[in-house]
Amino acid sequence: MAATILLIVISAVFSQNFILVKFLGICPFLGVSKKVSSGVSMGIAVTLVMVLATLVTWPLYTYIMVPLGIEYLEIIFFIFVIAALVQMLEKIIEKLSPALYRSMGIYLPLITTNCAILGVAELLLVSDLSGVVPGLEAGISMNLGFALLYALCAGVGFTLAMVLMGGVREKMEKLPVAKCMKGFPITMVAASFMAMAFYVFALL
Amino acid sequence: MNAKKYGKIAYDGLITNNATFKLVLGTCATLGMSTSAVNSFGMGISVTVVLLLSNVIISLLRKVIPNTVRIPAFIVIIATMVTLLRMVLEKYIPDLYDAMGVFLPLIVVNCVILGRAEAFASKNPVLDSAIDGVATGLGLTFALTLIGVIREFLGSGSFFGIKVMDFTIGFFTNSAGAFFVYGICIALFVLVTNRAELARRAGKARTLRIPDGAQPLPEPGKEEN
Amino acid sequence: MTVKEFFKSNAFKSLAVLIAIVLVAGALLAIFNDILYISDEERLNRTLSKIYGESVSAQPVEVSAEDAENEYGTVNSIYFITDDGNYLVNTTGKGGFRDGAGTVTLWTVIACTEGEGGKALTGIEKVVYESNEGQTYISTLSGAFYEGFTQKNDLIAAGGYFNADKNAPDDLTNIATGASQSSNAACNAVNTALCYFRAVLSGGAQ
Repeated sequence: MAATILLIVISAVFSQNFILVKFLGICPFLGVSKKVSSGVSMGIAVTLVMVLATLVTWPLYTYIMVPLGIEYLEIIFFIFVIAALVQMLEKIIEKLSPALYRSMGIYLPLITTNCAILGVAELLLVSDLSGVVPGLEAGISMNLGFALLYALCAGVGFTLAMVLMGGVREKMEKLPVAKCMKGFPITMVAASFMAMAFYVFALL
Repeated sequence: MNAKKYGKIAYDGLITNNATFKLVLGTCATLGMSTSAVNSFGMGISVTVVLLLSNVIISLLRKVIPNTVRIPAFIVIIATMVTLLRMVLEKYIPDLYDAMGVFLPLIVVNCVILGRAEAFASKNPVLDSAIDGVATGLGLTFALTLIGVIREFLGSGSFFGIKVMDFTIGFFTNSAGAFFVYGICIALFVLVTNRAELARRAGKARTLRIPDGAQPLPEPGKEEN
Repeated sequence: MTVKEFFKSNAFKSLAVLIAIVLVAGALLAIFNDILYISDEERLNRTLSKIYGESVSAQPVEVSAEDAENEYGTVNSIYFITDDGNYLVNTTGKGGFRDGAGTVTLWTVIACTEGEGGKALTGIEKVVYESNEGQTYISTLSGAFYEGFTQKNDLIAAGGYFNADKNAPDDLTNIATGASQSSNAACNAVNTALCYFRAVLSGGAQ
């Protein structure tokens, strides 16, 4: 059991990192990672929505949509759940803590169309845990606990990549870069080197 | 006049506002699906189909949908189109369906589609929106296929699945290679289009000064005589 | 606000349009879901076609419980390929790495002809790897190794079984250098299929 949990954590955070290995949530990765601080805020917001979305979509799919035989409506249902959650979260944070809202709230509307959230909801629809955690022996069936743990760890992995990229880009601002490589191209190449480092986890 | 207008819409979608290279939108699909040329072409065409259908429908309904609920309405329409596409692919092209995996439902959150719906289809007539959808989609397909061809050739020595070279460079098949090739492609595309744009402007400026078949202007001093 | 005003308000209009779109979308998808429905049979054929390498249609064959386990391993499932009359057999062979406790699971395509009094085995057309248990050197078993099973059809038709005996090699020895125990389990998986065919599927011809 402990080994299973450890493998889920390592897989979701490092070896199957959402941004650098699975290519989910690249838009905020390129758009909002100019500074470490904005990377942290975005990462926490995404993690929060990921866990909440999984908490709603997984039971919704398993206990309502499958018995009713309406799996084909999953995309519409999921995107609605995510959009509604984001709206609610925005209102709640605005009420509870205006300071937090100022630092994090502005990123919330961007999250609705973040593929990492819909991606985690879709990926977790497998019946066997080994479907999302490569290297795990088959036969452990998926449940809400594992799903939430995976979503949390995927969010942590997302935050990690955002923060690392923020650090790299803060330094890169000051470097002389060829004109045509400025902006997106050099960021992509930097991401490539980071992806190489994360790739090593998959080899272990 | 109309042909010129449609030409401009198409040119904008394909080159000037190329979604993949110029606007850098829909990056997840670009990076995730470009392991082989066939897969990236399939992804590009899938996005093009969704883009065309959603653009046409949204353009048709643009006067019916109230402004306040336009984003949820667009998302429902796009999600419906993607679900339809998913059913069709699963039935008729199961290989592509398997290869696309989670990136197929993620077409819904591809910012290019919602972006075109919001910026173009909700304000323009049906035909314009259809052309815009196809042009943007083909621009994206071209870019994706280019990246797919490069990665497939360097990564597994083949071209559209046909083995042409006897080498494999593992770097290009994994995620690091995807970022690297994409970055270099953006730089090259921007470089080439900027050069072409400069050359075009220079050419235009020259033809303005000396129009075809026109006599050189007489020197100012002589004209007075 | 009176009821009449509410029905004329912008909020009502927005809500009505949104609900209408959702309903139309749902109905459209429900219709297409019925039209494009993929039956379990079609799904099975797709999976089997991938193993087979060409598109085929198949029927599951029930595995008889008393013969499912033999000296070489276990028969998991059998499909009869209706297009060419071959059998596609999924078997797990024992005697692999880890003191003989590990196993290798393979798909074997058995070709046969309809003869008098039953079916006669003519050979093995294809062997496809599926999974293993505890085999560290399974990647050493190359495509050439699996193809090796299809090269000895005369001896197989005569009633032979494969072996991975490097000490006493004979015509039916199929062994991948460096992975003799995994080779043993793979040979046993193929033998399980052969043994089951001879005992049950042949219908008493041999």
